[in-house]
Amino acid sequence: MAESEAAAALSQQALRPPARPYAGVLRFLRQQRLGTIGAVLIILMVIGAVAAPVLRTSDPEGFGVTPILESPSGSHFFGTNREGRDVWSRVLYGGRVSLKIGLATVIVAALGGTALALIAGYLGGVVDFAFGRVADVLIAFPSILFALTLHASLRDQLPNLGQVLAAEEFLLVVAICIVFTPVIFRIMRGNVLEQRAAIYVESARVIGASEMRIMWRHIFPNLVGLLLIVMSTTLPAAILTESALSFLGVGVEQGTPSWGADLSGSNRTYFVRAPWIAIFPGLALSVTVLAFNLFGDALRDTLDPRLRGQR
Amino acid sequence: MQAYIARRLIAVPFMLFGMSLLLFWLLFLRPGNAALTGFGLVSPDQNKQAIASLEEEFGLDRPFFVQYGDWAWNAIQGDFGISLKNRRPVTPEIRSRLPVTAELGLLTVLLTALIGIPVGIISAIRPGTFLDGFLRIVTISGISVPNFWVATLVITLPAIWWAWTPLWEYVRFEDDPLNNLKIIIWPAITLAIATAAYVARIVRSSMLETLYSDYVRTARAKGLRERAVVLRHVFRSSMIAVITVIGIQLGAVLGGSVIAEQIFGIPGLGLLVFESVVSIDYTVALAAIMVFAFMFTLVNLAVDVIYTFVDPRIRY
Amino acid sequence: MRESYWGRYWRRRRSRRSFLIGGAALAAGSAGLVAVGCGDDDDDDAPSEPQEPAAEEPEAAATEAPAATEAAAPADGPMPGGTFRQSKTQVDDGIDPGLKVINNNEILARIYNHTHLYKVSTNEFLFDAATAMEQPDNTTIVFPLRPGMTFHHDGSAVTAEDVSSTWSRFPALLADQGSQVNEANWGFMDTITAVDESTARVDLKAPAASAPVLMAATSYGIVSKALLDQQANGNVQELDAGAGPYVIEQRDSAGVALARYPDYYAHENPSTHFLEGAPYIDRHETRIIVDRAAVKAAFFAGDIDYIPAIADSIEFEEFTGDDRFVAKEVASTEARFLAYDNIKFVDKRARQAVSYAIDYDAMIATLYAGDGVYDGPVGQALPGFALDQETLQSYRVFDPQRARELWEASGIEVDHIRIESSIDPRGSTMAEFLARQMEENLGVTAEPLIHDVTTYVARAREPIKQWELFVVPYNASTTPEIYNMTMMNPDAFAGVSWSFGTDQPDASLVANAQKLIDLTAAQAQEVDPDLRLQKMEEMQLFALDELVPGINLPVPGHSWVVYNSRLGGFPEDDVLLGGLLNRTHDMYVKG
Repeated sequence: MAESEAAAALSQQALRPPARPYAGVLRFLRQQRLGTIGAVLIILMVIGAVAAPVLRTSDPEGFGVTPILESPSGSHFFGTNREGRDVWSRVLYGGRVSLKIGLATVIVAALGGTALALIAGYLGGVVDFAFGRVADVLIAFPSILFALTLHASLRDQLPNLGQVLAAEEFLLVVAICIVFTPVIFRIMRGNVLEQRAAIYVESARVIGASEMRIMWRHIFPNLVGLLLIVMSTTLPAAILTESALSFLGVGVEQGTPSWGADLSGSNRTYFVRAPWIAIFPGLALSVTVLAFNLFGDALRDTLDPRLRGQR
Repeated sequence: MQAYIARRLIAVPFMLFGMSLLLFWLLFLRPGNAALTGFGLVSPDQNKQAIASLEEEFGLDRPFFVQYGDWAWNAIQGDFGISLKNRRPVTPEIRSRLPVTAELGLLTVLLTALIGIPVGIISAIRPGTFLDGFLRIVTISGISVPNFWVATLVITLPAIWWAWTPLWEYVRFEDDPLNNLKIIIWPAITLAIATAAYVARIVRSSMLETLYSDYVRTARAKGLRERAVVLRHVFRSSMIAVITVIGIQLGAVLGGSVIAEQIFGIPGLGLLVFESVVSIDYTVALAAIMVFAFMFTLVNLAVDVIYTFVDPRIRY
Repeated sequence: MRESYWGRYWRRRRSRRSFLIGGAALAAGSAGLVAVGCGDDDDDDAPSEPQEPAAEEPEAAATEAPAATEAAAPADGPMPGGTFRQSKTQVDDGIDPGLKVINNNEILARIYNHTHLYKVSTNEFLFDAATAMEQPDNTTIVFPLRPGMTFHHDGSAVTAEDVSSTWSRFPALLADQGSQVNEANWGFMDTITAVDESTARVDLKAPAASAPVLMAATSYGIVSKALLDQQANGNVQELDAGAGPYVIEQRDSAGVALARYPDYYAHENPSTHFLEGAPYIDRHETRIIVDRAAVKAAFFAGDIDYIPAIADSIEFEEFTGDDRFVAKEVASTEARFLAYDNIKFVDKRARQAVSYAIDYDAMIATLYAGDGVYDGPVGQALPGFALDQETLQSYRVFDPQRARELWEASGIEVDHIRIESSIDPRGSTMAEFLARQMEENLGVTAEPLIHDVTTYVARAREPIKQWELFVVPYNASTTPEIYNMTMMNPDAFAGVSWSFGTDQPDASLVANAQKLIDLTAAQAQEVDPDLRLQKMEEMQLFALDELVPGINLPVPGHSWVVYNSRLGGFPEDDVLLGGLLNRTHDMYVKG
């Protein structure tokens, strides 16, 4: 028993946090300038989303609360739209939706994908094969098409979680998760198999650790770094998918500010006259995704030394 | 190798079966369908009759598995039935639209390769330089910009500034190749921005991985010019990554065609998929999506096969 | 035309209110309408796609005669040749005029002949395949046909047999093939007989005041009987079976191109819009552009000549003051209906509460940019029949306090109001607006439910509704029977979709439905113009008093017509309501 714990401690050696926890952060800031820019943009975006009620200049969902289709000015930074809503305020609130759905999706898909990968790796054989084929099927659909079909079919069959996640948002999360989970599953499964064959797992097995224990205490902790990298690259993709679905009219509830939805519907009628209603939501979306991508890149460089300097 | 390809080929029908079953079920879940949408103003009694007669005509009142079995049996024989919306046979419709989307897809992949690979190479051979940094920002921006936004701006802004739009009367490729390309090029560029940026990033990283490997050092040591080293040795070994990524990106392009065809008014399969899914025209939606999935599956298979030619080390 | 009650009817109506030039118009299908499952009939180019409801047709009201309309225009006058280019959002679903009338008007109107057509702005009948319309008595209409007409497919002559067989198909097409042509468009016809080679006679079931206008619809296009008989499925969905001025050159997923029919007969008695020879324009092209921003971009770039469905005065302003375009404000042709799920709102107080809870003026201010009017059961597009603003305003009062009192008093067990709309931009914004009003003024929770058109229709037709209120945007029609009142007809729409039929379990609801059926029938069969107006008013006031089966929401004060100034003779006063854009022969391309 003691021996097995010793083995566990040994295997976790690699994961032990560095002596000075801030050192890593400092190194990141020093070495990853683009990543730092990304991080700053992300922080700004999160502040914008969280403090939207304070930063907004008018009710983003009101009707006629501002003059209509006014060009950007001191009182309406991004101009106003046809419903008489301030585009700046809608962009702020749109960040909430993107962030909420992006995070929910990534967490569910990453945990789900990893759990399934561990199960597949643990049980192997038929289960592994079955999971693999289901993932093949799900991955073979162009993601937008799949989410489109799914959304249309399940729209009225899911619960409304009220303030936390409206029915439409819940559905978006489900639709996007089903697209991303198999991708994450595939990546993680490959690593689970790799880890299973690693020497430290062999040694744990030799000293009699159960398969279950090996999975959770030995292999899983070693996947955390990779998981973070996968999550950081999935998040911007999830945000893009959400906005594409909202753009296609199968996203958030009518009237809810969303970067994708604000580029579609009745707004399209006025793009020629009021280009700012087309430019700013798209810009906010692009910058956010860019920020996450920059940060994700830097994170990968930092967490995965093998790749350092390459991307 | 042959055994591997055979195994993959055998898996294809099973995957298609799985996909179609899933899709059928998803569409089956939805209330209403295209056949019931369009008919005229009727009394409550006539309404019931009309619904009953339409359901009977299309066999919509049968149990799920009977409907699916019937559909699948015909689909295997290449007959996707008739559209619920307009009763036109689906197969010819797909056949007329497939080349349009295929052209868009190929053109996009071509642009992706033509832009992505050189940009990746340039970044890789001058790592850490200003040019590399600049291209890195450009490519990471490229993968961050949503294609529907770019498409919207491409349509809108020139119309405001110069009263010009990339929309001409759509002409088929076989009628007027040049004008057809003039139209298709815009959605292709729109879609290629993200894919080219992605490919450039992959080319760069995989080339950097090999640039400092032993055999490259050997090549340099024996006096090969840098150009030859890069092109003959480094690039070739990076091709695997590039091919994989282009294969995967084709999936993104197929999905993107749903949006691009809508905005640019291209009468392809993507537009058909969107309209049929939205109007619940089961037969058309199923056929169109299955064609998409089939194309995607084949591309994946092709990618795996090409591996073996590019990299002789790989033996399945 | 022989002097008959119809002649008297229309003349009378005109003199009574000569300023009401428009009066009526062929239906314009709108997303909403189609959606709710009634196809519309009639000249409607309206896409059933969410992107934009009305495509082309409202009406034009008191405006000056179009400058260059007459054939004898000076200088930059009409000349033969040229191509007219427009766009639509969806591929048609077929081109049998008895079966499909949505999204294919530009084809039907040009490849088929019609006995006559109705010019809304001047209340004229223009004769095409028929040389006249005779009415020997109140239930008979006789059409003498023009000689020399030949079908495209084999050059055979058009005869009265073709007319009778084409028009006799309507009931069977609806029952067996789910036709989009509403019964309201043809239900008044009893039999259609070929008296001889060139005379067709229609016997009506009962006097029908609107019959001549209804028969001017595109769905009445004359199909070759010989070709029809050859078809196994009894329709000509994919065939050019007409004898009109154009033949189909291309028709596929990219669009439609029509070219001249070389053997088109000459009109020997030209009228407004019909020339003595063939139409001026050589080709008509319609391309599919789904995206609204793209449609506008194409119009601004001059790639298309006509932009349908101008959303509001704001969008209209983009085109004014630009000499590349002609931009014209015409009378409003739009209508908005807010239906109750009547079985949930059997208590009148609950219906009143909803009506009092809506701030109609705010709706006009925000949704219509201040340019809006109140509307009643018969829309503002039919000024001869519509109630005046004062009367309507007395029924559409915003009083939140009273709303809440009535809501409490009614004891209604609804605490969450779901407002259904399709994803067409105007409908969905309106649903969102109304949801807010309900939340603020009724003390309930409310949500807009936006669905694609198919789901939207399915949800309207479900026996048990999963919504409380339903938003239907639609376009006015040339007659009160189509669209305006059918929206409220318990025998049709209202019965199927708003739980407002005689098959409902609640006695008061059934009584109201029956009353509305009786009142509607009474006015339709009344051939005396003054009496008809009275009966129609009675019917409208009943609906307003009882708030059944829903609320007519305010509508925009105008509709807008915008086209490229290279077009001459554009039927701007009739384009939105009569489908005249597609049937006019005297439109031309300058230079």
